[in-house]
Amino acid sequence: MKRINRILAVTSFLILIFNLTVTSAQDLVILHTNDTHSNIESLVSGRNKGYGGVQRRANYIDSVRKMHPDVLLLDAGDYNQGTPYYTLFRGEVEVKLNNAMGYDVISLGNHEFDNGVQELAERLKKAEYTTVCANYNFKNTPLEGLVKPYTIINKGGKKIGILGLLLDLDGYVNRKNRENLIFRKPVETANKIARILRQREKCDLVIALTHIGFDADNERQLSDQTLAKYSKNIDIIIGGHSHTFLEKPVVIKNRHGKGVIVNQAGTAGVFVGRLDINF
Amino acid sequence: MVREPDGKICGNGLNIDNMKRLFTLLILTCLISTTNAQQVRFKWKAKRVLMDSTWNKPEEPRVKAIIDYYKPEMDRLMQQKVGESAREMRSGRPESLLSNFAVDAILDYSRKQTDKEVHFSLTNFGGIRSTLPAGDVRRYDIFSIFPFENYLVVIDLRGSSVKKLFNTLAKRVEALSGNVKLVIEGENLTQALIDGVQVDESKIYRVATLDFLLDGGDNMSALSEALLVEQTGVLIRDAIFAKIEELTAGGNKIDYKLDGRVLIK
Repeated sequence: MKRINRILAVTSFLILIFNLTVTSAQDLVILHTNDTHSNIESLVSGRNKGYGGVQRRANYIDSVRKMHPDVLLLDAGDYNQGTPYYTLFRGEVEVKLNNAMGYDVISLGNHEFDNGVQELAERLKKAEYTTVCANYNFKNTPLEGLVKPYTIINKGGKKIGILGLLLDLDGYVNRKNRENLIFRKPVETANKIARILRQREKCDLVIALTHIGFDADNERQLSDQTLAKYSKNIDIIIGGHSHTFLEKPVVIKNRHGKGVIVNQAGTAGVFVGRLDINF
Repeated sequence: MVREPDGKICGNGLNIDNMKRLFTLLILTCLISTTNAQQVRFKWKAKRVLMDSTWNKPEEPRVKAIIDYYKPEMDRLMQQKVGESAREMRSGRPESLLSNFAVDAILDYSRKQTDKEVHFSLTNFGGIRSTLPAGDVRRYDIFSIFPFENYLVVIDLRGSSVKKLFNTLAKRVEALSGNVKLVIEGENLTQALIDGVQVDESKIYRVATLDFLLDGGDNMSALSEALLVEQTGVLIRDAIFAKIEELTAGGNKIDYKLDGRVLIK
């Protein structure tokens, strides 16, 4: 009995130590923003008065990077349009700041198209991050080659596949600003690519970086929640567009009965979302 | 097993209490290791970090250099005070201080621009992006509220199209001038008046709105039935600036009221 007692004590201690190590040394830290809308400075009015600002965001990201070697920095689109920074400098400040903060991957939002496809293409040529959007065909447009359906990032010895999704721009972007862009159904596209990422590319983690909204604007539009439900092989959906302030992510069962983490970080850079992952 | 008078356990021999405690500890640690796992394939925890003054320092130098480069030009062009508001004014459905102010200013402006009558105005909530601060109002604030390069247009619309428009608005309302009165129950329109009068299907109405909405923006298909489109060549933002200028010149502050123009029951 003495031995049992000791074994129990040792096992218990080991589990405790294991827990402590895994929770204090995560394999991957995902930081994410969405719909920052050219809010370079902190907000001066409204319910989020006094919050936000790119300098603070950069300082925070820096502090996390000092603690963790493997930080994945993502944005779910609409980093353009919303303050005079965009009006005056036509999006060049936002790209420079995204480069400086070291964003890894950004998905396209509808407001990226506000000054047309040609201007967007010129800006993206200067981007040091990968722009993803899987459900638009950019062939024979200025964006061909500048926007990828998905990308794979290696961090901490793990393969992370990230695909982009964008809502149907009809009703959101002037016709002349979206000429020759062909929309494809997001769920089918996402599942097809997620399968490639999981099975062929052997990704340890599959993320959908979306700009379709946590809730749908109208019955024609898809939402992140619906996408999660009908998805296969997607682990995490990081979304934008609806400016939804989620206190914590929601977990929705997918077609295989597996949980998909769905998150969104409001708007204007008021919050940075953070997910700590242990594989 | 040795139990001292105060109940403290000493020694490391067999002890039922001791075993129980260890068991509890074991179960607890197992529980800790499985919480959060849910049905997800990996372990995770999430939080959101508020970007408040906690993160003011130390300043990341690359971002600081970019902001230092652009901000002087920004301030030179955008920091001028254009007026003063009596209070903070927000925008939201079905009506709000800021949206009422804006859409009425548009009607006012378009009436001054054109010789013919303008019956009402319509703008979208999606085009009002920020909150008007209390007190001093700078160019920066107006550009942040109306960042889009949307132009003011005046369109001719048949009464039947106006009815169709109002029925669409019953599902998702947009900002309407104060001389329009809509009562919506559920998603159905139970009352629609312009200047206190029912919409006349055979009449031609002149409506001030945005070019963006004519192009299918926010899915207001009734507007594509416009018989005639008069371009004003004026940005909605500039119509707002004109209104603020007029108020300031008269020694007035920017202020507005709610009037129940759209009631949702």
